[in-house]
Amino acid sequence: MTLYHNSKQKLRNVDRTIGALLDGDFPLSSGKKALEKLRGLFAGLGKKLDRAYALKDAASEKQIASLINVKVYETLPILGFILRSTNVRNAFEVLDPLQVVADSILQGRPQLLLSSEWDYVPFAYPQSLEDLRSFVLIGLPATEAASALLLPLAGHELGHAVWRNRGIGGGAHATLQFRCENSYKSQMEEFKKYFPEYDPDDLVYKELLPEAIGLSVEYAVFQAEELFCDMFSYAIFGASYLHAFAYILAPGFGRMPGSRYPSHKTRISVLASIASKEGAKLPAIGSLSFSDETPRGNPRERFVLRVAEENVQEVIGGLWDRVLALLNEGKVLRPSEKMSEKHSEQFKLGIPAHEPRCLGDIVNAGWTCYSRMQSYVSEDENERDKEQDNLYENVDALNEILLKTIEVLEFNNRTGNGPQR
Amino acid sequence: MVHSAKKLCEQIRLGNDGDQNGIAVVPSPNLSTLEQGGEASVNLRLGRWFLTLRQSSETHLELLPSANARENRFSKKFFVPFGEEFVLHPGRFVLASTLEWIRLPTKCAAFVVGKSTLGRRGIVIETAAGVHPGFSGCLTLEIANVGEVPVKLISGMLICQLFFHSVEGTLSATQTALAGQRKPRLGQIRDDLVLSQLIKSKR
Repeated sequence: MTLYHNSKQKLRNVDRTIGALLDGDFPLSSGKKALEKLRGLFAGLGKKLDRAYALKDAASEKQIASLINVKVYETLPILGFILRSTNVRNAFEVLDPLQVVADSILQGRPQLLLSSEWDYVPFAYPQSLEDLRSFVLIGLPATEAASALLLPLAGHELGHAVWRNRGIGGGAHATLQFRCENSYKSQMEEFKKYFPEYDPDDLVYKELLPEAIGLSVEYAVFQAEELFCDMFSYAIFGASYLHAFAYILAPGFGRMPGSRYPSHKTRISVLASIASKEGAKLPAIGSLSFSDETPRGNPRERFVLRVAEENVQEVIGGLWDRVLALLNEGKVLRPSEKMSEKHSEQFKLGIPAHEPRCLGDIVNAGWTCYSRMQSYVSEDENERDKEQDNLYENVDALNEILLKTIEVLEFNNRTGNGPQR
Repeated sequence: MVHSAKKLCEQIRLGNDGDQNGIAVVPSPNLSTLEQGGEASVNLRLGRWFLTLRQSSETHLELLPSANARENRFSKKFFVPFGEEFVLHPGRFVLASTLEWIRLPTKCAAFVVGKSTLGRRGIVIETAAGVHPGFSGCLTLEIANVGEVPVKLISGMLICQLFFHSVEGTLSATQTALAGQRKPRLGQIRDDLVLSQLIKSKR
């Protein structure tokens, strides 16, 4: 077998696999479009390979064969993602209203793909895939994919797409680089305490300083992105973002998140501070059941991280202003406590809201009802089992009402009876 | 007594705003059109979830409560976006839901009737037509194509109509606030003591 024939065979198998996926049912068109795009990519690679083979250009042939390997390697997980996005365990009702938000903010109108993944932590491929630049892929855990209450987590993941698409990351990087460098200058004595081998005149050891600064900048940029996404989702979903965040992560995983992530405490206190300035109500930190977090890494790592975190704190205000400006520019409605309270009264009676304004109002009302339901479970052991069963049945019913209300939001928008954003 | 258009509109306005004695229909039908038209029923639209029965390794459908848990082995769900089509072939049968979520007060019942325009084209809707007082949720529609040509059903199209009538006398119906489904289901087969006795008494 030659390299050419092996590569052709691989392309044939990929095409056959994509074809089989395309033959399936697509509840929403974005998955199908992404597959067609990928199919086109591999067809293009096949043509290039044929040309190199016809010209007997062995070097090009090898290069293209290598590229085919890379693309197949990168694409297979995406094919799985697209397949899982068609599974009926997904709450397909949420996609359109979320797409409306994305269309209002993202440039180039990329299409959202929402999938239920075999991965507990929600994640996004926010236009980082070279071949799917016009798509934003958001994965939610399969076990929770049907839950409207956790929709704010998709809002956080959408924030990652906004971070890249609107060039916020580039600006934040430059600011944080500048700030971190200044921090190291002003804390040089402390730096030397943690990095005693540092010697500005030694060819090897003088590099410790730029390396430490680089690491602080890296942590700071990643943490700033996470906090931006938290604020973005909070702006769209209000308090329900914090509820969903705590539901999925509290009390923690028994260890601190990696240095690229802010601590839970920081994330919650940033949102609490914003909410307090806005006069909005958020659940108390203590009620969210997060475990105490232990300091991360060794003392040297902690110093690098501390510099990063101090500087991230300085840019939070600017990032929040940017979130508000983006929402304002896109005319994205923010949730209101009055509407959320009105919806929660309707949900309590077992009816969806007939004039919903925005996703945030709906999900906030859902969390209000959910919290009320939990408070009804008795402390009495004899009653508890029965009441808990009732609670779980009620939560399922509440989810149905929430998803129906989200569907009504889409229906009203499409028929010209609702707020467009 | 069947509700008139005017009374229906009043009841729907109350119900959608959260009055327990009103009738909730969400999304709301166009009430001014309904009132002006003077019809004594509300037209309902086809929802986006469908459920078909499928062939599987199971040999037959069991109509006893013990078979409830096996519903998924026989059925397949589909989601069809607004304005898109689900083709129902002659002789085939599908479960769907109304787009509207209905909630009836305890003094009101309703019955579902297909639309004659669809019936004339072979589409028969709903064989278990009664909706009991206190019901909450989307109505499951049993849709069959008894005609001779395939028919395209479109999500969001008008599919059936609902007549409402008052219930007189002592009311035993209770209203469970949080209940109801947005998707069609095969439904739970309930215990039937008489049937159980008959089965046990087989000789």
